[in-house]
Amino acid sequence: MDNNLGIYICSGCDIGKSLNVERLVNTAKDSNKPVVCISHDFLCGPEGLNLIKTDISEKKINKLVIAACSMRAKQDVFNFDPLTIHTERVNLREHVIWISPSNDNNTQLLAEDYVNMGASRAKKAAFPEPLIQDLNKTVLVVGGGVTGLNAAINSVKAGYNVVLVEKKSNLGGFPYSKYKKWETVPPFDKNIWIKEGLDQLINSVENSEKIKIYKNSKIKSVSGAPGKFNVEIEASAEDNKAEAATETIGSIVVATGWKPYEAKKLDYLGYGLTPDILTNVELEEFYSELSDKGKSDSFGVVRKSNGDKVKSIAFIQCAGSRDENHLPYCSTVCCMSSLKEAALIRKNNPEANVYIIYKDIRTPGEYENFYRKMQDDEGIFMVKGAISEVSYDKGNNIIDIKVKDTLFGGDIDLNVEMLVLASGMVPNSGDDVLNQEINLNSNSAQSASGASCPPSIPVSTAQVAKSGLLNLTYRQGKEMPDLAYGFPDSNFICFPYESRRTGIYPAGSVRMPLDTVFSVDDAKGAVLKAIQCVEQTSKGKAVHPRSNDTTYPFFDLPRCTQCKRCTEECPFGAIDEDEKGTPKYNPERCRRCGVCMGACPVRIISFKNYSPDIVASMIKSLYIPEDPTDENYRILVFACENDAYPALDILGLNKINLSSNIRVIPVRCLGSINNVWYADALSKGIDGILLLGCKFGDDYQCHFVKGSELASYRMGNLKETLTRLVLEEERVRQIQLEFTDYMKLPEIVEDFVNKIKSLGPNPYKGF
Amino acid sequence: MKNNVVRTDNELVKYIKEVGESNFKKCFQCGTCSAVCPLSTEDRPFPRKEMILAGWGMKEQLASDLDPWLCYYCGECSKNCPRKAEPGELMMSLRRFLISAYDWTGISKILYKSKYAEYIAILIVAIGVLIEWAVLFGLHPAAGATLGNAVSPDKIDYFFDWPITVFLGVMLTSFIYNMFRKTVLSDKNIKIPLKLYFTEAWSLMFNFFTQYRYAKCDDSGEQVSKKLADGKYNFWLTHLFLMISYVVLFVGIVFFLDWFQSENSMPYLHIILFDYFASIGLIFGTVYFVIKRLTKKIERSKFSHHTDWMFVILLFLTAVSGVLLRAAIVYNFTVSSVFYIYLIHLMILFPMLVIEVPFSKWSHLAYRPVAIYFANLKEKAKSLNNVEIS
Repeated sequence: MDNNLGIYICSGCDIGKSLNVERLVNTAKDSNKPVVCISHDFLCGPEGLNLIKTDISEKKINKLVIAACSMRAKQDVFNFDPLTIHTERVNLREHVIWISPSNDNNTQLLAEDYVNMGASRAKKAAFPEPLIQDLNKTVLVVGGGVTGLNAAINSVKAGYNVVLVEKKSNLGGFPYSKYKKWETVPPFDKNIWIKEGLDQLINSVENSEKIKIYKNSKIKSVSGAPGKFNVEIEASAEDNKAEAATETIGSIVVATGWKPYEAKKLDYLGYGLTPDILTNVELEEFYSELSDKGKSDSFGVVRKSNGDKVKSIAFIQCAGSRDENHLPYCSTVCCMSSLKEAALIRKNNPEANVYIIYKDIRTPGEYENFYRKMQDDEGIFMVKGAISEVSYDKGNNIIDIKVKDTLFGGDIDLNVEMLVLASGMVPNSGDDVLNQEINLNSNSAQSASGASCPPSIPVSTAQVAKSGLLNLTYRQGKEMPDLAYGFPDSNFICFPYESRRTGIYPAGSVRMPLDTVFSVDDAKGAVLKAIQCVEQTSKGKAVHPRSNDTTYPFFDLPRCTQCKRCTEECPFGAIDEDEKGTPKYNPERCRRCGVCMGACPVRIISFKNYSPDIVASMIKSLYIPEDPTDENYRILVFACENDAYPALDILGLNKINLSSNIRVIPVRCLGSINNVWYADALSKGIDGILLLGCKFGDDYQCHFVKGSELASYRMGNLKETLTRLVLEEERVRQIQLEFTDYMKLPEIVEDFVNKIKSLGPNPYKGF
Repeated sequence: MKNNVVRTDNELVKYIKEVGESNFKKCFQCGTCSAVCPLSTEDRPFPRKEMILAGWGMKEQLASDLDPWLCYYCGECSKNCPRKAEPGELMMSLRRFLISAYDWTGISKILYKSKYAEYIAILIVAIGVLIEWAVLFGLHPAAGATLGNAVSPDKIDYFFDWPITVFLGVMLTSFIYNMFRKTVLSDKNIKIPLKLYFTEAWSLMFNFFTQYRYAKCDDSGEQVSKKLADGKYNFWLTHLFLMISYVVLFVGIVFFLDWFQSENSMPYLHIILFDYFASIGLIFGTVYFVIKRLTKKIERSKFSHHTDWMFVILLFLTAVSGVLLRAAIVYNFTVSSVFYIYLIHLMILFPMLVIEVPFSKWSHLAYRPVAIYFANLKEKAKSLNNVEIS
């Protein structure tokens, strides 16, 4: 491969006024021996761009270093074919002149270092070879409820074939069995209850030629990768009529919905004392029964205990929800459904008094209109309060509810004939595997990995093993990993629908508690993701968040020591193992974060344009002055490209000064940092290393879920190395940074620089 | 401690909704209303407490509640309510509810519920007056009769004034006793020493004649002179003027009717002057309130129930017909015209007295000061009890 390096330095946007561009060109020439090295005062203009294009065609430049603005700017202008031309953007504007004093020697040194780093990376970088394949694009929808039906029909509308698997004998899911539901169209204030909607949808799904439906079926196993999933479908336990089948699938939408929270656990609210105490789901079933499966519209609600018409009924909201001992979250639908139930009781039993005891009424958005309507009903009485006791007076067949801390300013007692416990939703995301089994698995994994490798997964990331839903044949487990409470791991705000299994997208109430209205939109969102996945994958391009990336990690397997770190740490379960523990990489499942590259102790994993070697050469290209003055301290900053790097850009936009001691290397994820880089940097004479990455923990913001946490965990191992080298462990620091934290950056950097200064210069400087 | 089991009453909620325009069911119990109320206290956290009691239709607690009478509808609560639930209007509705709760005859309840019932009731009384008049004086004055012969003041006294005085006395007394039973005696936690009834009687008189709580509706802390100049006391002073005028005229007519029927325009200077001013007070006051109710610019007058209108209109017509009658007598109109004007005046006056005073809005004249008196009694008794305990 020819390495025809062209360095183009822009002097526009005040770069020329703040730096000695001539000197910059000369040092770049001296250090990097490029074919071309010129400056231009308007590189992104037609003339500047033409200059580059002419050089590409005439001088066969294939490694471009564009020292101008941030790589996040002008992407449309400096847009060259990535398969034949490597474009390296050096950020002289946001990261140099906008945050450093003008015409200052340290600013000049900073710019020179960045140009050299860019040039060394460009020289080493190879061109990506995308894996273009003809893949299957069928969407598998698991679950035939509201979300599943909508996912199926919308996939078809977008032109994709669908395989729909439903465990029951009929489509429609939970809402199908309900008597009536609330309005599905805003503004929700007509105070009507509807039954329609589903039948039509079920019909169109059942009659669609592009949808293949497996009823009474469940998934036995899913193997493979996006575009070539091999899905085994078998009969669900209750029904043996359904036949086993195997389907090839492009991507999967999981719409398995929810199940009600176990009612037995609500005995502290009186469940089980009398048949008149029921859960909201049981009341729905009772309604369905009373109405003769919705055929009759006029019927009275009667007591289950004696068949008398109900005269008083109470609803306890958040029964076992928003409670650390039960379901710690809000299920979002119980407030609306209790209000609807209350309205139906008032309609059927006009003389009845209905009490609703709540923690908070949560009827978000325009649902508020429905709440207000119900609030105005003279027979519905609502109060905020906590339940202190529910008892049953058998003699009088009356339920006594003691409510404390009410907004009435005290405790109240209610005597009612019926009590409904509005309990929450539990996601159908697979069943927990017994603990014993997990222990066995992890023991065997450890013994196989050998004594030399400590377990590489931080304790907090350990997952409760699950199975029974998708039954993936992945090395990391049978189901999508959970985030919390059984919901699949995904960042709700940054990337909804994503799971930690590429090509598998949860939607509807298995993803988060949702009602039918919101599930419809959720289904569409997940379908778009599923389609995006098969289309991108077939072009060899990555899906979110490194969309369009065509690089892949390359595993130099002959040198592999079977330590299994990559297979364990891959946040997306992209890497399986053979019996010996050698990684079996699935490119279609890969998100290109580089966590495997960071994990590998023998550095056999690399990308064409991002590898331990490339970053090491970037570090080597730095000029490290030996004279130990304040301005000669050198701090290497590994900045996450997703949040930390943009934060630095925003700081630049705001023209806020930052220490000129720092040298920033953008990384795909902090999880892709290989520990060898620390050694490279420290032996080069770098005085301190700062990692700027995303927040981790329960409310993580890492785009690759575990990257920043893994970086932090691996630093534990690093500390031993540092101690051995008689270097202070404080020389390496990781900071969790949100995009919006850019204003904190000067202080963070200043603080770290001062710390390093107090430790003194790196003793290895000049070796 | 054992809680009281809450009893809710849908019908009551419906009734309270019907007798006013408060959206009290919209309340989510934030407490803003009581926080901004200048009159509400820690022991009497109205109107929030009433919002809850009304929203839940807690009949017993509502019937024993004195707080609606302690509210003078400054409207701060309604202005600040985040749910536009109109707590001020609820207090008004509750006063209507309480009037019907004290009234053991059940008439008030019907009058408040239906405006047609009220029209019919007024018509019945007016026709009753007509029949009584026809029996006493005939439908025409006898030819050549003097006014004294045609409409004998003694007969008016015997057959109109004194019976109505007795009727109103009996009615109001029994209603007030009913109120006393519901609001004071029902409270088993408080024993009121006999002495207190006398020592606290001043508050009854003071509040009856000053309506001082109106002044407290503005707690801005400005100088009294500034408030006066800014018109912040206008409503109170007009209301007071109207009430005093009414009392003066009522006493005058019942006990000194002779003087009104005297042809001498100024038989007893002080009395007549007083009554002339009282007539001005009635007309000025009713016109002022009608304007307020029509313009709806202040919270107090934003909503008008049919009983509110009926009350001011009857009062205004009574005053106007009374002035006309007096003018006719003084300026020596023909006996027959005085005869008819007199009849019309009575046909307006009596429905006003019979319907409005015991069964409708006018009864607040009695209930308000009495409620303050009862509230003071309870408060004093409570503090005495507390002292004894400690």
